[in-house]
Amino acid sequence: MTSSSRPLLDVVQVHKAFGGVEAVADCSFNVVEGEICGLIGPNGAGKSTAVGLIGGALRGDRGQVWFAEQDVTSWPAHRRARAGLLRTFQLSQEWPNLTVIENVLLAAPEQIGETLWSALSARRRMRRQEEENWGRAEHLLAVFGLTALRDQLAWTLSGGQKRLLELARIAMGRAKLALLDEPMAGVSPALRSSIISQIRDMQASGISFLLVEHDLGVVGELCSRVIVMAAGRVLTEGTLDEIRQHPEVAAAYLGVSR
Amino acid sequence: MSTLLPIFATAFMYVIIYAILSIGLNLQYGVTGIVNFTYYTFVAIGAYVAGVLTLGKPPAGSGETYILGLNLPFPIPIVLAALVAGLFGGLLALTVFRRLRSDYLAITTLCAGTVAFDIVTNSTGLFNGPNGIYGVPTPLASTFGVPPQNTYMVLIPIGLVILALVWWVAHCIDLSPYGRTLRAIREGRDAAAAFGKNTLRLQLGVMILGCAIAGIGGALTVEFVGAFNPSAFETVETFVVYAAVILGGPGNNLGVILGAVLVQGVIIQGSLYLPTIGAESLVPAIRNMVIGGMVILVLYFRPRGMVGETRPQLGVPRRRGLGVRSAPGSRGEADS
Repeated sequence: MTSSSRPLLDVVQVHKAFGGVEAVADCSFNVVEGEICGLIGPNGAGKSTAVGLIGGALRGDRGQVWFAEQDVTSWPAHRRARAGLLRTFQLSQEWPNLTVIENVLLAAPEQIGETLWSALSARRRMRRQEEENWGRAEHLLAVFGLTALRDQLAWTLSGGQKRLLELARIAMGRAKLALLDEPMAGVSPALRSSIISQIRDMQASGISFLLVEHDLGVVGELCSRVIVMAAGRVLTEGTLDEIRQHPEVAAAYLGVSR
Repeated sequence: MSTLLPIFATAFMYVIIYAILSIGLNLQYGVTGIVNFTYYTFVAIGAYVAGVLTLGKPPAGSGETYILGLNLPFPIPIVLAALVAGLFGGLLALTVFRRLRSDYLAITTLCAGTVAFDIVTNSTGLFNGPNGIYGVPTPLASTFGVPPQNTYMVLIPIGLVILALVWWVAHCIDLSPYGRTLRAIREGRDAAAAFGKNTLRLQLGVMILGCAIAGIGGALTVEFVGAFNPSAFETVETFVVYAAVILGGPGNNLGVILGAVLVQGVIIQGSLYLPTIGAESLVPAIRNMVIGGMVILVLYFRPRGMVGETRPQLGVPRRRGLGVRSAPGSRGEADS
């Protein structure tokens, strides 16, 4: 495979062990541009570790991560994020004592005034860009139904609202690929459908997704392709209907022996 | 009145110095969430560097030994004190930020301060060991013909100018995306990195800046007092600056200045003129207990401090009529 034909995200033989435990064992999979790809598996399958390795929060023992045709294996998390690879966390990681709109503004890429020197010397340009970002952030809050919460500190939000805020940050960050780690965890059924439709809209706007999720109903609604992990390895991949038929998946994940 | 003026002027000068120190520590602790338990070591670095740059060579036969003795004119010693303190702050940051965070980071800074204290105390050729440096002349005093007992007449204006400059820098940071990003690091370093923030470089920058400000405070101290020795930078001194920041309001520049007025101006300077009660060391001990008790009470009942964090919003379009405002409540706990 030449580098020019690589999918948007290409994970190649990535391996990560903690002590003697192989959390991710020589896993290979990919996400193509424009798709929502599901990543499922039982607890301890290595899904969140895989997300950490892709996002750069964790360093793998071996293997490669390619993103947008660049080998990002040695890149730290912030550099991957700047390239358009953004993520959410299994437990919502909003900035709790910042307001909702500050949380969104922080995700804006390439901000003037984000260094000491430019904060002191480029104040006019910084103000102009900040006003543009502010307008965009307000628009996104409206899109995600968070306008009324704009000036509230983020820790006051409910679990579902925090998930919506995370999606708003992803949109503000102009992500090419978003890694969503259990976005429905702790979300009420009422907000669940809202989050599903927001993810669909974001996909339509050009953002691709790798979605780690336990709820197969959500996976079925959103994902065109599903990767199944168990015990640190990729068991299989395919459509949800295909993987339901896979005997190892049925045993390892669905708890059914055939 | 003539006897009260030097007393108030001295207290005012100390308040200026502590206001500068509090703003520097606030950038590190209040804004960025870096727990630097050796902040006062950088005050000491500034004091010693400014001292040996202002002093001439040690007089022969005096028994004093210290490095440099370059007799440099104002304001070079203060500028170099800031640079050297900032440099050492950066070196400490590079050592600790790559691998450590929260409690481990705090303990490591405490250990670094202990090491620095022992080096300065035992290495007599560096800054004259436990006796320290003394006889440091006040800048510009001879130029303006100010008598030695009235050095505050020169140093208060200099201190006020420096305080205004330091406050302006901190205020610009507050108003900028830089300040917002530093707060995001305080609130969650991993999430900040996941949104493209180079947390290591940002923390390094804040350590350098905060320690440079500490160095400036140290330089002003030695040029005001005229002397500095290891007993002046024991660990408790760092906690006095923390007390000013915590009481005033972490994350709020005006709040921490208010904290400096309370801790240094009212409690410390005020207690110097209390009559001796019982043993000679009783009043200073009570003073420290009062400061410690107030910190505990504020942390328990009002963790935002007297003023609380405010966040001026740079990007709010003016036509909307929103300006500087207070954060609408705070959980008041470091949960990042």
